[in-house]
Amino acid sequence: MDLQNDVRILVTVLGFILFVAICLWAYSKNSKQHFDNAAQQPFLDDDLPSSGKQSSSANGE
Amino acid sequence: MENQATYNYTVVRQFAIMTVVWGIVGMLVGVICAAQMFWPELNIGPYLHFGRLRPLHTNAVIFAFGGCALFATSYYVVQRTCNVRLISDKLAAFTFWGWQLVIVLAAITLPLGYTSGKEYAELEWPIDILITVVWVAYAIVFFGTIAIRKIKHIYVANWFYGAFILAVALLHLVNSAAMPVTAMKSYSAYSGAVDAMVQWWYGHNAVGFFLTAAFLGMMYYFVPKQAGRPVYSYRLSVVHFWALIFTYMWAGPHHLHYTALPDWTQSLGMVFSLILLAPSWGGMINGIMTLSGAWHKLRTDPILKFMVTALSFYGMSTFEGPMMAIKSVNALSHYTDWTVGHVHSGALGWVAMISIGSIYYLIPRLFGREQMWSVKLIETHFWMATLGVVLYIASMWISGVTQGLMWRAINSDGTLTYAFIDAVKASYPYYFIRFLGGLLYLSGMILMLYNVLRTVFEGKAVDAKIPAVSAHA
Repeated sequence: MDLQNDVRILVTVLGFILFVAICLWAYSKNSKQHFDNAAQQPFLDDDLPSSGKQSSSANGE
Repeated sequence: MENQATYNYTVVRQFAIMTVVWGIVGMLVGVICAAQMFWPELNIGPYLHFGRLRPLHTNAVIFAFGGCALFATSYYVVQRTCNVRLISDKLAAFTFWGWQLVIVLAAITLPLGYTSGKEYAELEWPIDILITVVWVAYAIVFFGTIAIRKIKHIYVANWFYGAFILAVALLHLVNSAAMPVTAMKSYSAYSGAVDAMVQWWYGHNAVGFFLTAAFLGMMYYFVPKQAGRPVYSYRLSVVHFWALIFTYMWAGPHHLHYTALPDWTQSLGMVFSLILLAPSWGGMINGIMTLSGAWHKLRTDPILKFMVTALSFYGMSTFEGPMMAIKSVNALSHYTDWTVGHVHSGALGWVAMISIGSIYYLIPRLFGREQMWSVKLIETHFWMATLGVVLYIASMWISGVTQGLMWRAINSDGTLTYAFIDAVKASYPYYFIRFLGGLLYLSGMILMLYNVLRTVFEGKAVDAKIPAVSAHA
């Protein structure tokens, strides 16, 4: 039982440290550029039908 | 050469249409249940009794309506953000037909009385096995598509969808563990308080991962796209994701306050439910603030109205939830209509509205149209849905608090002030208002079906070409 409890404590503490680390990483200066680009990702992809089929019939309106 | 390849829109189209169909079926059963509460004579025969119809309603709206919306949007989002076609068309088609079979089997077996008695997991073991097979296929299609992606970064919406698929697999396997006795009868592998805890670990995480995480994935793609602005803070979305994942799994015990569950477990559930407010509101603020600088679009765009109202209801119900998880509040609210009101504020307000908004976004794109057949009809639908939810939850709040107060009222000599029937009588008028709210919401869905069908018949089912990978970081 003691070992089981130790493992539980360890997992909880490690989980918490991991979460703090994720927060620090997410808000670090180094990752700002990367995440700003990621936020733009859906916008580099135009999914409107009129623009999706440029090759067949160019309804350039 | 890559221009020749297309996305698999077929499976997205199938799931998107069925979302609307199952939405109407599930909500119709819900309205019938609401009517049965007001007019008990409507409990006709054994098959259409409230006790049989109620699980049919919950299964139909959560797994048929919500499930189809999640399949449709996740398949769309994963393809568009990974710039690649689904890894297997056959397996994707299998998930569609498999999931429809599960729904039909549920609609047959539940009224017949085949049930394992576990809330939101009532289906008997052969259907559970089918669900497992379909879910594994879903995971292969989703994660397989991510594995062959053409864009290095995995967009945050996919993280939420991925967590939903993994967590639901885990929940389903653990909670449905049972010993079969006959072809349609089984007994749970757990018993007593453990069974209750496993059930609500499942039940609450079904809310957390099926009805929250996955729909947040929807939010992180469709709200920015419809608003035409990137998500307010991508960094917040990363923290939001991990905070939600780390916290949700622990909140289940709040469903079992003041039961045989150990006291410390109840307190743990309460504390984690309170902590859960932080990631929930972080995500809600992230979604709503995405509109900063584009608020004017709300005036003219009913799809955006659906999405922002959904987020508002998400904020409301994720404030209400932690509050109700506090033991002293729970002593008043538990087993009353307040819980029913809370669930529907989340289900009709958040889950259904964000799905409806996303489906309105998808349908024109899936059928080669610029927009829905009638934008005015979307606007009408929006107001019917909003009014419907407000009627529903307001009546249930009043009825629930009334019930809670009447049940606990005690005379000076220690006897109960009211008989149970007194509380039933006090709730009775509110059941009619609830019925009206539900009926209004259902009517909005029928408008949606009409609008969708007009759009489909005007348009043509086309699979969009995969654009050459554009310059990305």
